[in-house]
Amino acid sequence: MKAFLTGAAVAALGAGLTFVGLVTFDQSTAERYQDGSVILLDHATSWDTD
Amino acid sequence: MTDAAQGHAGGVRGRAFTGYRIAGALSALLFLVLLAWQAFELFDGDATVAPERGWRAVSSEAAGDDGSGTLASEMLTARTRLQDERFRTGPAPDAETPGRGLPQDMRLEQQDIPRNEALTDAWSRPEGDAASMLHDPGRIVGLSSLPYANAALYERPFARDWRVGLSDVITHMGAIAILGMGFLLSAMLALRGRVPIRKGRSGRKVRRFGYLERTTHWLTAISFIGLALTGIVIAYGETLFLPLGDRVLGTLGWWSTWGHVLFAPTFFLGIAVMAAMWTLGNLPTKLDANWVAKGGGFFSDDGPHPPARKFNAGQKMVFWSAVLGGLVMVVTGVTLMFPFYWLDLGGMAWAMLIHAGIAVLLIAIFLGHIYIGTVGMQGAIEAMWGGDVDRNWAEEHHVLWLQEKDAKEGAR
Repeated sequence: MKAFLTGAAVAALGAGLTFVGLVTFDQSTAERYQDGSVILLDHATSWDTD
Repeated sequence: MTDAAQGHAGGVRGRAFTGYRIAGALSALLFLVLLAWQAFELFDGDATVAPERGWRAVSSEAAGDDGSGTLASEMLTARTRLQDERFRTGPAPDAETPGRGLPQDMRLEQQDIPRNEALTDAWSRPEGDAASMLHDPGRIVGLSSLPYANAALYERPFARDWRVGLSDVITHMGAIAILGMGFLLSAMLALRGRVPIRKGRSGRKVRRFGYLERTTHWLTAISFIGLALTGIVIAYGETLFLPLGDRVLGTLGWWSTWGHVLFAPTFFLGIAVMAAMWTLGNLPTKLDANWVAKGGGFFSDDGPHPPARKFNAGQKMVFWSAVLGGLVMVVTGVTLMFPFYWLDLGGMAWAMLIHAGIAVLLIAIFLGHIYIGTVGMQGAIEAMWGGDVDRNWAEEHHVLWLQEKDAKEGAR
């Protein structure tokens, strides 16, 4: 019982830390402008690579 | 355990656990129905994924106009240029915003694509000449004005194999493996009953797993169950939860996508510590062949259980599934968390196929592990719950381990 609770607590702590870490270093991959158009930020343009 | 079970002349019999056997029979029936449903799904024409809806542009006034035209394509080009400009320079509020790609008097509408239409069929399962033509070049590239690198890549035949592999083969085979395992275990409980402590409980305890061992086990177990449940939502959510409504699937899907990432680090930590603690005890020995040949003594209440040290061959198989399977899951999972960092599109497709394929196998294997550790075997759960097992249980299942332990403790 004690071991189970310790395991559950460590799993919860790990999940919490991962959540905080991911939210902290979150980077947007797209940007939306006022006219509704969306730019994907992680793609090179076709004429950049061609 | 019932009194009748204990009073039997030949020791405790597995078949005497009547309540467990009734529950097993009911559960077997449920799994049989689910398997039948899965078999129906498998052979139903609807089993493969194919495009169902298509877009087309129609005139607002006169339906039937195909809607393509120079004006529309010019607008699209202008818009694409603006997007590219913004991609390189950032927002430019003064820039002139082009109009919509579709003229004002046109609109887009969706329509059904009939199933089994020649086009749908060829897309879904190319055969013969079509297949060889599609596979030969590996990729079909054209020209595009859209502002991202792979926009001009119209078709990757491997992506078709990936789609069939993931959404058809692995999904269906995985469902059959998981439900089939559920059925087999339930049927075993119904027919065979629990694996009993044949001599009954001695009332004397022996320490089997220490605190660190049990904590690591439960840490890995909780993380694995979290990953399995969230993974099932990701893989089977549309089948299981969409009938309950869009919002149900949306909410569950959102939490599952998060949860699937959140449980991963502790799962990796768990299998790493387990590997460090238990690898030595789980190396194969000659005893294992004997144990496997006798089916672990699980299928009959007559004759002795094959001798085992701390871990028998069955537990070793579970250990290596967890460590090696878990390692593959972590490597492919981390790859999927960082798409295209070290693999290209083909590599990503393989990572997803391997991740999903091993996942459903691991779920099926660990259903077996959970079964034998709880309802399947009398006294087994105590080893991981409190750490102490009954001496008679230890003598029946791990006699060599018990002797070594007694000798060691007697020598002190």
